[in-house]
Amino acid sequence: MTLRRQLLVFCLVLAALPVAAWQSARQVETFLREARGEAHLATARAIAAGLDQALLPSFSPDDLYVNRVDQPLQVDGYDDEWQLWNRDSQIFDGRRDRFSLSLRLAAWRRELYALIEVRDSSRQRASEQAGSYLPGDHLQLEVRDVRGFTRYRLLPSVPGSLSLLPVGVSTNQLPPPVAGSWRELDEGYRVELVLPRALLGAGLDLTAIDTGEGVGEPQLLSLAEAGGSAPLIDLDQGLSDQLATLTRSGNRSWILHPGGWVLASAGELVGMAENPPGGWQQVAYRLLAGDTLERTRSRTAGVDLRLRGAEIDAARRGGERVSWRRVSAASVEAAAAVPLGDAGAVLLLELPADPLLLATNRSALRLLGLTLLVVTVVVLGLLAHSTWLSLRIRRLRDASEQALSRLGEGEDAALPGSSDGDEIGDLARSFSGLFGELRSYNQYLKSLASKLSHELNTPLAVVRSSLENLRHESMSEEALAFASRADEGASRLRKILSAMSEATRLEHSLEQTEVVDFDLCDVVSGCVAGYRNVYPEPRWEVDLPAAAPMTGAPELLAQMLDKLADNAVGFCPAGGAIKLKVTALRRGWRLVFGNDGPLLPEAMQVQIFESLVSARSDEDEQVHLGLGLHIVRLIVRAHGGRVVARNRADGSGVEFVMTLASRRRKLQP
Amino acid sequence: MSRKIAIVEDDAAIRENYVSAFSRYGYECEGFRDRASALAGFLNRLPDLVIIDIGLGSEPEGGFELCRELRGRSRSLPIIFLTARDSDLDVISGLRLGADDYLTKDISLQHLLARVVALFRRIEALRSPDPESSQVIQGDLKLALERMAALWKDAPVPLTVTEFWMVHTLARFPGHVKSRDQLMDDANVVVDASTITSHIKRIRKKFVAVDPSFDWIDTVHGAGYRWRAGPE
Repeated sequence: MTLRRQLLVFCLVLAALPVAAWQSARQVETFLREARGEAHLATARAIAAGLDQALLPSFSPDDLYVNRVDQPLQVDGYDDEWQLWNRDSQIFDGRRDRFSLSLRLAAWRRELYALIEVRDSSRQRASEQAGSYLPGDHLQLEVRDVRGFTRYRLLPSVPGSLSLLPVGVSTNQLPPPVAGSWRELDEGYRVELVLPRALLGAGLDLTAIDTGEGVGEPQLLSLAEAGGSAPLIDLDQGLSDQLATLTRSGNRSWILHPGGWVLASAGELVGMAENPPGGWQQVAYRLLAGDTLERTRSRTAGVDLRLRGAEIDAARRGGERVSWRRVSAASVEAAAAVPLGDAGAVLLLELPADPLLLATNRSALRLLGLTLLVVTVVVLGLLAHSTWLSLRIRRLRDASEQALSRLGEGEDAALPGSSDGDEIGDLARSFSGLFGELRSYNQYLKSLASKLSHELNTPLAVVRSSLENLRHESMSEEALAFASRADEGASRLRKILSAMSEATRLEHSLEQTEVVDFDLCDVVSGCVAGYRNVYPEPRWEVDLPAAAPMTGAPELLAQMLDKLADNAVGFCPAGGAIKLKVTALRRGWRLVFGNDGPLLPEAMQVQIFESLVSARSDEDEQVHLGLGLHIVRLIVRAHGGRVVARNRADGSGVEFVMTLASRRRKLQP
Repeated sequence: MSRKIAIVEDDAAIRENYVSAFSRYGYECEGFRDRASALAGFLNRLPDLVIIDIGLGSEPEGGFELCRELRGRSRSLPIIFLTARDSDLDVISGLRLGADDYLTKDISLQHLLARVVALFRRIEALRSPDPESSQVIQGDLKLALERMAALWKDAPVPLTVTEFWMVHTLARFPGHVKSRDQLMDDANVVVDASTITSHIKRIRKKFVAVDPSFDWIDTVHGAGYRWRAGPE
């Protein structure tokens, strides 16, 4: 893992910072909202306390809610006028397994309207069978006032009209006038009625009778299962007026029946019309408080006849609760509900929460932006720093590798960063010192051979000249034999010394060597022709291009080939082949000199070019100091190239691959 | 009359060995161990040949110094450098100072004597110009063997003994490639191949100095050198 990657991973830890900021912003928001909520509840409680409890009617769960409308309805059996307010305003919705009954009530001045819908998949019409009259599916309506009740049977007559048959009257009065209209629907029927409002105080009961398939008992469905009648309740104007005096402008308050019906409402909700928060602020806020906001539409007085919600349920059970609702993209409402009296009535106070939204938004976004900025700056700074560090380390590494590869050439380039005051500078300095040591040691080693040969030359000359003088003395046979052995040894020693000094001499003479234009192919083919004469044993195979013009020192290249040939012949088994191949490179030539034979040990592939390193076995009779390949490397480098020794891919032998620059102004060791 | 050879060599054993070897061949030979004693010995009379080691005792370049001083005193005194140092640079500086030959110490006594004899013969020939001296003529090249003098288009080319024998070997059979070993044998040089290369280079330079268009010595890569066969 690189330094940069490590730091990048470390930077991920910093990513916790914006998360923490986010969390704290959420906490701030929640805290603010709770505080506001408490204030709202207190306001709601104050309103509830300020209300005249005597104005509240008594409630029963059977109450039937009557919606006040501001114009008379057409009693035509169609429900389009009723669609204006919510379906939720159905005051009764009863079901049996075969049919269902729903009832809605509305009042205008002295009129009371009722819309009754029966869903019945098995319609039975009234019929006469076997002399007896069967009424089929029909409705039974019972209206009550203080004096008694009147019961009607509602039957379809001709389509659109309704026949009302009084079936039981408890008083001796005339039955109140009831008019209506009957509509057959796809599945069931709808009845619209109009009755006098005077019936309101007492209540009514409605029963739907489904005769089914005409067999068995008919099924009944009643409003008041107990057989009583449900009282009617409606919006109380007096209560609304009183509520209005207690409600601050911009807020809206409701008084709700335990069943959620609106008994009174006052005020208009005014949101933040001016300066609405921008789109991204809304998004941020939604993210910030999203999971605590209900997503609903706003309530509308006169349309929502019955309100529902968690806060209303809580207040109905005697608790207090505030709920926050997002009613549109840009506005949030708070609804605080407190119980009103003991019967389960509820006072609901609604307030716009836009200023709150804006305030929390701004603070949260500021905080978030700030932390993000800080994190970004820190991360970028760290990355830049680490990049710089790794760049320096990499430069140091490259420079040291270069220095290491140039140790042999004795150049003393300072490592980058040696002047820096930090640890990397320290490392560079210690590397420099190390390379200095290595270089001087290397120099010593390199000069050792030539110094040694030079120093040994003199005593060797003493030995040889003494031996030669000795020949002229009269000696016994044995002494002669000894002398000739000493002579042999001395001449071997001489060969060794000249080989040892050859490389050094070559290095010294490289700079003076003049370059000429020549054809590499000529050199290779000429040399190989010579080798064929000297070493007929291995096969010499040459693969040359038409021409390989280059600038350099041909005699040095010939000397190089001599060394390689000498080396290759030494390793090539009987019947083996030595292959030379020249191929073109972009700015030079590649020369491959390979021979069949034993492979190089892995470790030797680099060292083999060092002087005094030899991969040959010790059984070799020849003097072999391993200087030949060192000379090869010197010559190749002087021609601006590189040489590598490697085992052939197929394992058949070893090959030396040399690159030679085709244009060389001057030979440089 | 026996010729007088002076050997200036700081190593006593070698000095003695050479002295005894030359004496055995009938030369009058005297050894000196450093520059000062040699100069003192030559005050009265210069020897006929001086063999100088480059490093003399405490003076690593003492031989060159001595050579310069002797050249100052005599232009014709034959001087041979005999040294353990064998870098081309030393060879070049030695010859530039006007030494007649430059031999490394690993030369055998046999070779050394041959070279000395050749030098004396050359000096003899120069002193008594003998038109009858055997000649090798190859195109524009004339080699007077007795005097070891080379002429190119009748202009003298100042070759050392080694160089002369190399040219001789090449020019006797134009068109024939002579390997380095053959050249070494003929020139009585015991050095390695790269020294032969630098000898050939010096020979070319000397001819080019006389005739800028000279290009008669060919390099045959991997084989050796040849004197180009002229149009017959």
